[in-house]
Amino acid sequence: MNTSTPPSEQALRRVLRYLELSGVTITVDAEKQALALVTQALDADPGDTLAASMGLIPLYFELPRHSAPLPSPPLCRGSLGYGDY
Amino acid sequence: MGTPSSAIATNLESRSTIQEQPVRPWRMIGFRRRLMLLVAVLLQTVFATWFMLSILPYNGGTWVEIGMASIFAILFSWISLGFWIGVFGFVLRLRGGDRHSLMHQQTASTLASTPMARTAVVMPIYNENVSDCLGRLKTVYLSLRRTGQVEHFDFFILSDTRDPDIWLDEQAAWASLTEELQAEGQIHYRRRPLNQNYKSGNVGDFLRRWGKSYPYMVVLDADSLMGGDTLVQMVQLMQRHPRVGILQSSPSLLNGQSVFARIQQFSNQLYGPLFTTGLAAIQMGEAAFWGHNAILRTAPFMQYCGLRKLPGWGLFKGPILSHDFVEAAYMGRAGQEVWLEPELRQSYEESPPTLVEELNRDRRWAKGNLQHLWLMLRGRRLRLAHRMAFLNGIMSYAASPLWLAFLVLATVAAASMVIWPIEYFPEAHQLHPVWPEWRPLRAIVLISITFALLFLPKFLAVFDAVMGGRSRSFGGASRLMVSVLLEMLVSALLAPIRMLSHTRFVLESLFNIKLQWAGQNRSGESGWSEAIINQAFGSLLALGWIGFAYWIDPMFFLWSLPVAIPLIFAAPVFVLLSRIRAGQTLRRGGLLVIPEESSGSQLLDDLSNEPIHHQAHGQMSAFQQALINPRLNALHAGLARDLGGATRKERLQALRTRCLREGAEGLSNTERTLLARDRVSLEWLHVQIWRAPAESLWGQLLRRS
Repeated sequence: MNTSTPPSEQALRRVLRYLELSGVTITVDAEKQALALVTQALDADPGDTLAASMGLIPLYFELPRHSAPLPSPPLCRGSLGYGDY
Repeated sequence: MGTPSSAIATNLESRSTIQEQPVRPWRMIGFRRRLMLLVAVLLQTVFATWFMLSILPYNGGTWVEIGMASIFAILFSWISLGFWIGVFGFVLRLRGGDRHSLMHQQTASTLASTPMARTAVVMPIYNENVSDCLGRLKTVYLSLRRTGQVEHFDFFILSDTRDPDIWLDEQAAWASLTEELQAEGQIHYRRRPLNQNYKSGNVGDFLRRWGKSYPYMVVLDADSLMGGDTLVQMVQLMQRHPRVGILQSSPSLLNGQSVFARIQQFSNQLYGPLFTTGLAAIQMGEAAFWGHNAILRTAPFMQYCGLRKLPGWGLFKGPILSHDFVEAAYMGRAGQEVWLEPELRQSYEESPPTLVEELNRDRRWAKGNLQHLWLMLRGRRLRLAHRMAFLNGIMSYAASPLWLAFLVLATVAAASMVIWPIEYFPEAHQLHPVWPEWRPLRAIVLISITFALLFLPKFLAVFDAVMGGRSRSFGGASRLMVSVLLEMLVSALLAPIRMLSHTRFVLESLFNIKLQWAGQNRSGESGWSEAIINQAFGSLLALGWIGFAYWIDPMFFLWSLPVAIPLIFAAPVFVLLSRIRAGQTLRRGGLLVIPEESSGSQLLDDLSNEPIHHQAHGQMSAFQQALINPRLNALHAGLARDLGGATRKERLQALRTRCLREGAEGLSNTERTLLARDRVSLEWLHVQIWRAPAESLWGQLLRRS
């Protein structure tokens, strides 16, 4: 795909890629929703459909929540003893 | 020997002052063994030095000859020490091992019934290959899980990595690993934004934060691999021996692919048991700590092993670079015992893949070991055995300039017979003239004796393997012998190369030239240009030397060849030894084979068959992935902080704008690190990048994501 691709197509591809990377399974329903999303974005902001489409994702899809595992246990502070050389 | 419950009580006890310990039985045994060793080394050295003087033209009558004899005595005693330790180890192994070692003091059933205690397994890493080191950690975890005792262990990946593309990858790999093993809350990750005092500072930081939660700590290197049974056994030994502060296993080398690494691991696995058995029997409860593959009693370690910066001058000023020997000495000073236990199996590390990498590592170690000179001479109340351990480490590198000095003096002595008039009356008031002449036959005898000291323990190790029924695991008796001869040939080739390089490192250290503390290349091959550049000085020096030797005396020229030839051909030696394909060919031919390869190893199988699931993105850096991939962005943002301060926030805002405009390549490592540490920046950039125009840098990158 090059930059001469229509903005709506670019937006659709980007939305689908984002959904896929977020862990959403791309079904026919999901594709239809994505199409509806891009349509709304085209209506809302034809000058920047990409940004508008991405902004609408939370309204159309419930994205899986990702959180970081607990990196370390609760602190149990101690000190080091520094003796002679 | 205390009961397990009293062991745990002692272990958790915090002593405010260093206590005098009662005399322990092993001390007397150790004293006798060391005395025996000292007498053997001294007698052998005195005889050899006397013999050496008889070879020299003036029999030690000139300053040059006195210098040669003195250096010879030091170097010979060093070789003799290694010889007798090997012989001692051989004798002990013939008798079934040292009955005074910790392992031999416990029956298998007693040890197995010993209760466990909470243990932290820490792996300090610094710009390492993420898949490899976390793959090894996964193997250790799986092995522990098979023992049914994994709940007693918590794992800590302690990162000092500076490169954001590596530490972000570490974070992603760690999160993936915890999910894969369902070990959340058991495998932890911590990165220091400031890595003060190298590895010891890294471990010290862990101890300050969590050390009090764990009676024991196992330290792994990034290339360490340990079996679960071994780790459990080490905890149980510590529980049974409450006076032991550090228990050091003897790691074997494995997983070598190049010819060089395979030779290293073959010699380590074949000869190692002899030398470590001998060494452990001499050191007993005053052994050294090698920095990894060891278990430490956390409370005394925290109490006594904080490392002050050295207050001296030059090399002897600043943070201690090689911390492990010093920590062992401080534990010994505090009345804690430090044991090396060669009979602990399944403790492994990897060899540097090439000689270039080994020498890069030696450059750092040389400086670290020479720094110990200050502690050896000025450290207060250190035990003599630990001062000797410092001397041992220093001599590992100082032997090289001494050998070079010996060669220089030998050249001067040979030249003086040709260039300068012969001195028939070297001493004042001498009645009869001296007819100076070299005695080459005697020299051959002395060289044969020296070679015997160097190589006899290797043949004893072969005998030990054959007697112990282990020769099949080294490829069978005949292939074992061919492998030994090949190893000896390569050792002889490498000795002068190492000598010249170590000499350079010692001089660099003494003049305190700044060395870079970089991670190790654990897998690459050496290229021709790298090898030629690395060894050009040595090759030219050797050519000049043999040319001069030929000019002064063709006989001296012949004597110089064993040292000069390896130096002249150092570059091809470097390249050939680094070849992985040649290493594999040797393996297929049954040469340089180690037991884990011939008999199989669950650890090695796990390591090769169970890689971590996380794989780095092929086309994007970890930083780019952190900004683009929604899952990774959520992960990294979850681990990041909200960096505060008006100035810093202003800087972050400017960096975010630049990052969006110029891409990741437009930022330095420091700038990318700052952004990746800030939650707000990560989240903001993620949103903005996905909204970026298609023709922008990020827009183009998104199409490749």
